[in-house]
Amino acid sequence: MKTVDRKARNPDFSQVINVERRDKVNRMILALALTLPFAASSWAQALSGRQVISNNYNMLKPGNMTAKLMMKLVGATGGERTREVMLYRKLLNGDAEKRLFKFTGPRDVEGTAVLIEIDEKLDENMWIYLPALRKVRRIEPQKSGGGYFMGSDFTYDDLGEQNMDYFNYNLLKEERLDGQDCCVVECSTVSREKVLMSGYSKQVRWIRKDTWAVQQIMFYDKDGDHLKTLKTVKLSLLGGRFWYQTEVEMKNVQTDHKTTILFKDVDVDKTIPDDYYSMRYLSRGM
Amino acid sequence: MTGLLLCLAALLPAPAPAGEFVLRGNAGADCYVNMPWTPDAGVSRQKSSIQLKPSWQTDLLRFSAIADISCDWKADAPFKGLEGTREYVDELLGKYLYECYVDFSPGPVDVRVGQQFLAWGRADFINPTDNINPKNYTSISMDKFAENRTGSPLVKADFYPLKSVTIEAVWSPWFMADRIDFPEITKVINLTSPLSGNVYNIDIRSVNDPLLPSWKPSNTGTGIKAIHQLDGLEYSVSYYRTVDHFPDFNILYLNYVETPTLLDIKAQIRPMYRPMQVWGGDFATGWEGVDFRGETAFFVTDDMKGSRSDTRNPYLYSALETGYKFFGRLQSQVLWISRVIFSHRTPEYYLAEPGRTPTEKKINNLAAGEFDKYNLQRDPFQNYFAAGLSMDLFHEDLSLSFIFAWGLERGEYYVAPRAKYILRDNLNLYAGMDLFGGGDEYSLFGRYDDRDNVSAEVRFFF
Repeated sequence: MKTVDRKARNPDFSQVINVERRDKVNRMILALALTLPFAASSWAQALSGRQVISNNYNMLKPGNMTAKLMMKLVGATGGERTREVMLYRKLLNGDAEKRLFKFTGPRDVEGTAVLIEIDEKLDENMWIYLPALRKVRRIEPQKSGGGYFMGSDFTYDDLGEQNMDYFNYNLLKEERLDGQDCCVVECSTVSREKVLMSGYSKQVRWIRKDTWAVQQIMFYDKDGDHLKTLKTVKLSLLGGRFWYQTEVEMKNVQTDHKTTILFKDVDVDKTIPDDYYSMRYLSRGM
Repeated sequence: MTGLLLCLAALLPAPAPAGEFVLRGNAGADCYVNMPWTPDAGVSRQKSSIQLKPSWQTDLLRFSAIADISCDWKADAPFKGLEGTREYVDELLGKYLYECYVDFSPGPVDVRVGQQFLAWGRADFINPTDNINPKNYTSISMDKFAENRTGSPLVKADFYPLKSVTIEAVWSPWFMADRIDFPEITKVINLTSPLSGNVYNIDIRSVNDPLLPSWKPSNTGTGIKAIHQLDGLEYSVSYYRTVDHFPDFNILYLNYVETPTLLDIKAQIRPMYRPMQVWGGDFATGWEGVDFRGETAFFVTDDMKGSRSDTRNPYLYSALETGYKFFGRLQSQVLWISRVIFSHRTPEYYLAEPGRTPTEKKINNLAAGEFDKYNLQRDPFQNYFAAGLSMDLFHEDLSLSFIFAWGLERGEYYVAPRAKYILRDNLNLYAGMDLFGGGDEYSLFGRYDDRDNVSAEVRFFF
């Protein structure tokens, strides 16, 4: 598994840029003054905000994936909690996919499992296995505010695919962030109904231009106030083909609470039997 | 023991590969305190326990067990069970095997053999179709799943003929009774002999010597359930035939002499277990973020016409629930529970019952009156309304819940606030309260009126 660690790869990248920039700056100003109106126009035509996000959505994804998710929740006072989840994921036709989360820690929730089926319209069916009750229960996906995943700063929506039609897109600028050239796209939620569904009025997304992977997302709450920031800490090339965020950090700026998710033991070459994504497997409680 | 034997039997044909062995469990202590206004105010349970959950898995099978070793420091404390007239004395040192079973999957079938919990039904609060495991009605805890039922030796097989269809078959080879606190009742009734006019005192005693069903194939429990899963809706229909785990209370005449000059009657009231069939169905669906769940079961009893005062009548038992989560964290739930008794009769009906002597009728009615509360058949219609709220705070470090249930016919209620706090990873604190009120001794919650309590628990999971 090749990995791109932004810290290791670009330790002094910003300094290099600064030295070169001094020599070039005068020439650039002149060139920009002459070409900016045409360049900006052609760039915008070439790549709209929607296309940038579309490129992000259409990144090559592994058909199968298993990983161990190590979650660390850090409170404002520094108190830590951990969560461990096994993730099984299988892509189907179009945007359809199946996901299975098996909780392995903390111990009192060990054995709990959540099966999510997402159809091509991104409608979800969700079931949870409750080991203490020996029962599988169907859960209606929340239509209000998302619902947080295991007490983390991630909502179930954050972890899933979002319907492109739920947003209006506006390409704000190009920007270099954390050593990466990014397109910055404002994604405004199309309607009040969708705002209530997702819990966000808008998102500003930094999409890397080299891989179209997410570098950062700023989430704004229903009132338009900055709520959370998602950062990609580590982007990995899985199986030599798939760029994937294997370490992400979500910080709630309103509560100063932070969650990091580390994907360990990621495997994209192992074919997971369809049985895994079934009520049969779920109700076995294994 | 039977569960263990079944597990061993299931292991026999398997090879002995080196599998993965995992030992999980928890250790902790809990304390229940009866409220000052109850007859037995004070600490009623102070228990330390360690629960072990070993499992061993190979490619072919998986063995699992849950065993509990506990020490109840207040084992001699008065404890109110179902009746409340008898002191319940538990053991100081307890050991209990909740589950011990083996899973294996020959082809398209999943089989589980051994002592196990099996809970049918999709509802949360009351499950009318959940009749396979015996229940423990002496448990002081109202919401501990494992404490409120008994793991029973079962063979369960799940077959998946279609992707959306599951057929579940279950066989319960040995009868096990519900655990109830059997009331010790001695009644003296004065009967006037219709022949001589003399008055005689007749002693009737309850005897805790249940008439258990003998082993024969027809006394084993057999059930089948078909589950169909559609897009956005799932439902099941089920049938379970068994000997009811809950007893009827029968009058046994050890001696019955009624002459013009003598009335010599010796009678015992003894628990007796009768055949029962349960036809059930349940469903779960959702719409716009609202969960809907429900289940219903029709109980075919040994007295379909309601002609005997000491035998339960047929009844329909249903539960309907809706749930909705507000703001992504406040889970609300509304429930309606209903029980309809068919062929319901009044005590006057049984007094006029033909074919029995007036003396017999009086004695039978006495028994029926004493034990009516257990059979829950005093009212022909019984409706309960319940509402619940639960919420996770501080990133699930603190969970709060509250349930309020109210019986419409007899004005009884049950209130249960609960709190759980995660002190640190794998170390949890719990606190709760059970408050019962209203109604009378014949009502579902009213009978527990003297069991109001607060509880606290600390538990470490490993």
